[in-house]
Amino acid sequence: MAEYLILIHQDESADAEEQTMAGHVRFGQEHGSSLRGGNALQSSDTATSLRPDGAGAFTITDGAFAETKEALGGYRSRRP
Amino acid sequence: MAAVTEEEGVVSVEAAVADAHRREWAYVLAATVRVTGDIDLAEECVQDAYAKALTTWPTQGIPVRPAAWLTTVARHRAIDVLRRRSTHDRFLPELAGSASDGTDGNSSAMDRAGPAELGEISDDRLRLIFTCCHPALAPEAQVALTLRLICGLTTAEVARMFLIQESTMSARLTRAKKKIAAAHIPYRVPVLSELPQRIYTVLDVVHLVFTTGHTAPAGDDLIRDDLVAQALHLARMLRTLLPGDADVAGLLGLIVLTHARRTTRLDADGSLSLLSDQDRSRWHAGEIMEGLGLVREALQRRPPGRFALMAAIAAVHAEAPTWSATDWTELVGLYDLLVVMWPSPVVALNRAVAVGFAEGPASGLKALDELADEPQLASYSYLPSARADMLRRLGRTAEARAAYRDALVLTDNAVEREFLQARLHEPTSS
Repeated sequence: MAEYLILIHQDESADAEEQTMAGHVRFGQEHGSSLRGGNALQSSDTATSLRPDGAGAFTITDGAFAETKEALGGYRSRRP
Repeated sequence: MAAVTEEEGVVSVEAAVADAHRREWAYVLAATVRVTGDIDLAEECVQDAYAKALTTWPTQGIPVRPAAWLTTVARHRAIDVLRRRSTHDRFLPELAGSASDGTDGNSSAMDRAGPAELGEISDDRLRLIFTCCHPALAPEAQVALTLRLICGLTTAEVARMFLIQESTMSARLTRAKKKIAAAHIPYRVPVLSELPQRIYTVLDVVHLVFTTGHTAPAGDDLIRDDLVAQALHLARMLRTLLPGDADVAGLLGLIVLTHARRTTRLDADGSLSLLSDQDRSRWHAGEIMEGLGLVREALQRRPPGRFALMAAIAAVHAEAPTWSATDWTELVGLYDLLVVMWPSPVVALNRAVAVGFAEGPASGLKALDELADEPQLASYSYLPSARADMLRRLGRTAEARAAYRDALVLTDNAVEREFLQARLHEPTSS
């Protein structure tokens, strides 16, 4: 039988808390028998993104920008 | 076909098969994946088809359209194999799904005027590209798969692109294909509502390939022509397949405009030639015209996408008749927009360089200082080299030297190293 992981995006503001909790309680009552478990994650301000730096030659955040890659010398006297 | 001796006939068949392999392999593969839904099986069937060509063409003659012949044979083989496999019911929905375009929501893009077969081939390559560039796969895997399956590079060639061993690349490709199968990544063009997000992944891959080719991060050559050629080819293909998409137009515009400068990037000794020194009469004017048209098209979408903005930046450079005529103020303005669309420290860095030219090195340095603690730039040589350039222009020579040294530590490209060394050893009085 297939298992599913449900990720719930929740309104983290203080005003929504009571309504959110009520919703969780209701969900648990209605679907408790099919739930394997559940847990709350930390608030989103604790999150960090892990960005791989690419493998070998490739970097994810790079670009073919003329400014850094072609223009860098600026004003330069021509070679004699 | 002219009558030839038996020996000459065999040689020309081998040449024809080799030619068909080089030019058509990716098309034949894409068309076969459509039948199998399984990339590995498709690859095997395509191999079989090419092998069959070697044995049958000497007697049957070389077909007028080798790609069509190979595709037919590969697909028949695939259907044979699938029939004999008893437990692959999960492929049947894939077959059913890919047989009709009804669920795609993209039939208008596909129903382009042209031979039905050509349209079908274009469909298949588009499906395969979206499969290779699925966000569930790691970015390196997306790039590797695209280079292998869409560009038709051998595993060894892809390994060279990444500067890793062939065996490592082979394992990476195998894992990626397994993941596609295990995650049931569907072999289809995303539905209309998913398309904007999914296109970005494909564009990212193509952009990455181009970036790496434009200035190779390591090695002896500044430019990797092979990668640039692949990126241009992919971008043009995307443009053909999705002619109305603004981001696709933007990416192609960016590549075309940047590529137009290719003959002037190196001077006669093979040293790095700066934008200020490049002979603009040798920039390819026709390609610039093409690029400018694409930029105009790309900018029609509101808000402009990041590829449209990058292309617009490239256009400002392309349109400047001389270095001193470069509209740096407009460039800063475009970077201001780009930094919002794409909040990458690399973008901020390039913006700072533009500020340095628009307002002077002191302002530029201030903008760079804000990036000093960016972890993503910690091993990015262009940050210290940009600082070095600003300090040099401000006459703060000792600090400039220190920064050039920092940049050298981080630079693996031989041509860039030579340039930085030359800067480092320039006489103090300048």
